[in-house]
Amino acid sequence: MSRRRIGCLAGLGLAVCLLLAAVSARGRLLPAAAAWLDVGQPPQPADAVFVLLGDPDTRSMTAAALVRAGWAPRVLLNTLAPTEQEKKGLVLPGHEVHRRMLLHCGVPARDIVLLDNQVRTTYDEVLGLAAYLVSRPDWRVLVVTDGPHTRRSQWILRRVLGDRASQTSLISAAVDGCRADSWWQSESGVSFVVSEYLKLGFYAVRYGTAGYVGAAVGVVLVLAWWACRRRWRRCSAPSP
Amino acid sequence: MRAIRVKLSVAALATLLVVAGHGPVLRMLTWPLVDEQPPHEAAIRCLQGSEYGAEGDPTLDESAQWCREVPGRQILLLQPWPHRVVERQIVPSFEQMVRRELTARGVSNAAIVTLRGKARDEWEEAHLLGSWLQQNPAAEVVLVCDRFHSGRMRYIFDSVLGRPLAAQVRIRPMADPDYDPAYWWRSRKGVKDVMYGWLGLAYAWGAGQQPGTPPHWTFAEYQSLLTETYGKAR
Repeated sequence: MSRRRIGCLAGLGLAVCLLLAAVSARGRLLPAAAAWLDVGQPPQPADAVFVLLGDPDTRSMTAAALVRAGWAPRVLLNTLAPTEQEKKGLVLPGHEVHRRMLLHCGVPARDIVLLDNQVRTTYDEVLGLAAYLVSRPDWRVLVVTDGPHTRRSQWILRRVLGDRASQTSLISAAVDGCRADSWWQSESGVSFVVSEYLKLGFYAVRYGTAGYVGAAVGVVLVLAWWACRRRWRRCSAPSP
Repeated sequence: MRAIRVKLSVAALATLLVVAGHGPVLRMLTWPLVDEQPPHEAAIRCLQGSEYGAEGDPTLDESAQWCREVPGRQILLLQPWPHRVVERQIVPSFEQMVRRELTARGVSNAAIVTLRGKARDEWEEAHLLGSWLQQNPAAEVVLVCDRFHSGRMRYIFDSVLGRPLAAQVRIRPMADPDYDPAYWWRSRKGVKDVMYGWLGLAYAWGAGQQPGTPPHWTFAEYQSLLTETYGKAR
């Protein structure tokens, strides 16, 4: 049997072993995959609760509970850039739904601060928070978002706020149909967790250095493969 | 040396082809997501959506015009599971919103029928529509849904209803007004829609309908969960 064929068989065997190990350990791997995304912390006394706009059913209700419990005196909300449906008055703007939910849950109107910035993405939202905090250097902020969304939010907070990210604490809002121990049993859970991993990858490339690092690693791997192949060929060539 | 030159040329040509021909390749990526059928004359149209809106107002404009054209045409609404913002009447329900918009476009209230059943997902919607079709065996329905979810809807309806009944349901994919579906990759929303379309379709293919429905807290349940979690600040 040639050395090349032995190498192929060994690689295939290793891949099969890894696959079998992953399948047999899925009971531990799957909950760990969701738990890794959730970096929520217990609340600490703060100057404001900042709601990352998304599901008002979870995030605004959590923010209101924090204010009612006395963890912070006010809520900060970004304003969203209007969609076509919102422009035509078909549906309420997302931030307005959040504001109404906060009011409904007992947060007084004077304690809801709307930041006039027309955001589109989580990254824009954190930029909006950073701009608001420029004149408030000592403020501590509780940032509320859905549990699986906290890892990406933490990454963005660190990137945008730098050292000031330590003045923020991420609070996980519980999500309907997406529990860490059973997320793979519902379509909404799978969509949420898998899409968060994909978005983390996208953010690392779009806003971080992962694109350059990935390209550099790719070039190194191609060169290494080429060099190995040349060496292999030289070794396996019949000697004159 | 010559072999290397040939390989490099092939690689360069392949890269050029990928760069120049990325449009057709990316469009091809959405083929399984879309159930494109020739237009069909049915007397009943079915709308589905979320509490945060129907699938855009082209759906409402087109459906209203379609309903006004021939007397006796009906619009069926599949009422989704109410979110807490709807439960507390912070935003109108899907039914209230669609009725408001269709009547404003000249459709009579009597032509709009709501199938009540609080479907938690598309599988339950298919069961709901299936029960209605069994009571109305001669009816043919055109289901209007999001373009990049239409392939999944077709799969779900075929799986739940079985061949003869599923044939009574046609799918009408509607494009999102916020971007051009032929160039979906140029818009963030388009990329998200295709990503969620693939995740949903892959889950439907791989897992099918799950026996247990995921927990959905009512407003009161969620409030008590939060009070338990956060208590009072020190």
